[in-house]
Amino acid sequence: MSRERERFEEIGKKIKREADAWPHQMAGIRRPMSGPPGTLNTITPCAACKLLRRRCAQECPFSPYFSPHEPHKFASVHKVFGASNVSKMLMEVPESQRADAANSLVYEANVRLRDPVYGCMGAISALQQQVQALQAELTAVRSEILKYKQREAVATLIVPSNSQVAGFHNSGGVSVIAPPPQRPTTPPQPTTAHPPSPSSCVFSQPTTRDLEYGNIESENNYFG
Amino acid sequence: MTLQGSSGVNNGGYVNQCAACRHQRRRCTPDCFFRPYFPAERHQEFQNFHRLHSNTRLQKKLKELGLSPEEQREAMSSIIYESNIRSQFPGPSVAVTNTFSIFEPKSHSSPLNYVAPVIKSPPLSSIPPPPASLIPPLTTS
Repeated sequence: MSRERERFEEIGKKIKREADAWPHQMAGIRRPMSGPPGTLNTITPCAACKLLRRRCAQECPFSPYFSPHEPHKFASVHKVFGASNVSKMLMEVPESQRADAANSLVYEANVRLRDPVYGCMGAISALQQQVQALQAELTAVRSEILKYKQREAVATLIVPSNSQVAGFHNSGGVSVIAPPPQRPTTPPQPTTAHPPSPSSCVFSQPTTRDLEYGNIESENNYFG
Repeated sequence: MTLQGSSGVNNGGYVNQCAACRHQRRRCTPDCFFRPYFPAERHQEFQNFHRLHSNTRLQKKLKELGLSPEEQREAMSSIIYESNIRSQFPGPSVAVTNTFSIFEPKSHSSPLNYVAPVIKSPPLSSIPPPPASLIPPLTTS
């Protein structure tokens, strides 16, 4: 931290010294960044130094994050926070996160300029309300999905008993196994496993078969 | 404005100072702008605020906007809220930025030509809800 501050002080001193001699700059391609330390971005200064009419040094804290092609970004940040506060904030953040910090400062400044009273807080409140509404909608949809699954579970109990009517009375046990995979009626959601409870009911209680036969007769009456 | 040092030790003034005047070593007058927002016990919040905002600059801006007292309180409340969030997430304040990259809110359109960076952010539930009444009631005492 102290090294960075010393560097920044040196940059400030250089800027102050060379403020008198300001050359007339020409538009052109920017120099490569591999220059020796202490050289100046004399061809194209960054947006900050252009706005503040300063000489842009190679170690300028703003140049990596405020491109000269986007002067409006730094203009909004400068209007809301001030250049010295922004450079101070960028120095506090680790170098790997400074680009993101600069972007977030730009965004906050823009929102603050659009809505001077509430700023980002109004947007955050609106977003939180949307999140709550979406969560409520998600809960409702999930409960509806559960209802459809229950209906599908009830329907699978009736379908194999229907197949028994068609034939194969002698091999009733085998016919109970075969029909469910052969006739997958289109469920509201395809990824639904067959519930084990109906098959276990059929196999574990043979006495209920008589009841099922009774149900078959009643169903015949319904269809007829 | 006379400095506290030149006027000698003033315990009464020191006790009644708000966090902003204490930071700048000034005598706190009853009509101080920052007294309602930064009383002495909210020293940490003032530190968070002062990292990114300067007192005189902000005061000028709010006066230029010509806000009503209610709007002024709301503006200060939102600025304090943002400052506290930024101190809680000391990086690029990812919570604030990333909320806009999730989806666009209806009531606040995003600025033109802005592309939100893709940042790993803390979960949205970790953002503290906006304070209902962060500001104490305005008193002339």
